[in-house]
Amino acid sequence: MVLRKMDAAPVEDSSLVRDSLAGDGTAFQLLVERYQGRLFALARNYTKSPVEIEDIVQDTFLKAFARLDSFQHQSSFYTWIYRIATNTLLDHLKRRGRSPVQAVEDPEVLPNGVCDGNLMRPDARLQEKEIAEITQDVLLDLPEIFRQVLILREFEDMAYQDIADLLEISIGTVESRLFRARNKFKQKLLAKYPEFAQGAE
Amino acid sequence: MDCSDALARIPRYLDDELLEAEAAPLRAHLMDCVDCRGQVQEARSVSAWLVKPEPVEVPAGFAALVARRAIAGDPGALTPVADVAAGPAPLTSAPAEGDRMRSFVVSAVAVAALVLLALSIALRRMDMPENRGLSADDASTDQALEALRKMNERDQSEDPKE
Repeated sequence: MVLRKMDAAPVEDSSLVRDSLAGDGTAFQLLVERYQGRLFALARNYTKSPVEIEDIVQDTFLKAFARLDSFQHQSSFYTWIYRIATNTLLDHLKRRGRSPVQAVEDPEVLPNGVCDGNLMRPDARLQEKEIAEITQDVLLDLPEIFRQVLILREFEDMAYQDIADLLEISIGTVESRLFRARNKFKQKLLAKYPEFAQGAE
Repeated sequence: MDCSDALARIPRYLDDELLEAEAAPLRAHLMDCVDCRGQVQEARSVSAWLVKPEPVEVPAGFAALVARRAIAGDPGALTPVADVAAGPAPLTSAPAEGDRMRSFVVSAVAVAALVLLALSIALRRMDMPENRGLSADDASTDQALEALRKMNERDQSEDPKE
């Protein structure tokens, strides 16, 4: 086992993967430490339960280790483990009878500005936490393909190209999917919370 | 730039995905066009509702525990979804409350199905008089048979061919 100090030059993911494959537990621990926060945040978008989140992330890392030899080093380690994490998440929700809404890509191109009614900005009296709860409530009603791009763009601040690489879709698809995802989000928000429509009392 | 070009660019503009050469004419158009500015405002309002949930703290020692399990050969819950109904998945930690609840629900449904089956058989037997003929100690059956026998005798005696 190689002793690594956190203040030394950061070790490349690929090197940690190689050491992990050779049975170095410390190397794998470092990989887990490096990505656990992002995966906890990702899982948090699908469930509130800290126990479930911990189970899902732990399971993701265990699966990743079990198939570490299939990591090709062509994509980033996060891209690779993100896919394992989303599969684990969806599988987990399916087992608990909470499958996210699935939707095939809608071939219809919606015209710009398609929503009925406009949305007001969150009331200043609403706390950040309360808005986040509304966000989650609405996101849970969206088809998975839309929820996924919204999370990646809005919460993970990923660029279109990174989202395209991660989801293995074209940049054009990212753009149109995001466009429709935002429209769907707005429609659902207005349907569930009509009081947030502009002009509502 | 016309409005349709502007509207097509607004999402990428707000996501900071436009090159400066594409963004500059859009900004110029927005200065002049109230409708397109309204679309930008509306898009910003939608984004303002997309707020990240509060993060869940990673428990202390999580990475060390996971690494230990991984090195010990724990493969994670690789059980296919179809097999899960047969029993709790070999999860890496104690069965979650959801698993226990699911087992309880499956058992309860099974018991309810058996009770319903028994009830439906009982009701069916009550509703179908022909089934009563199968009962040897049923007095009404004897009476019915006796009536039939008499009818047959009468029929035979009235039939001119016989």
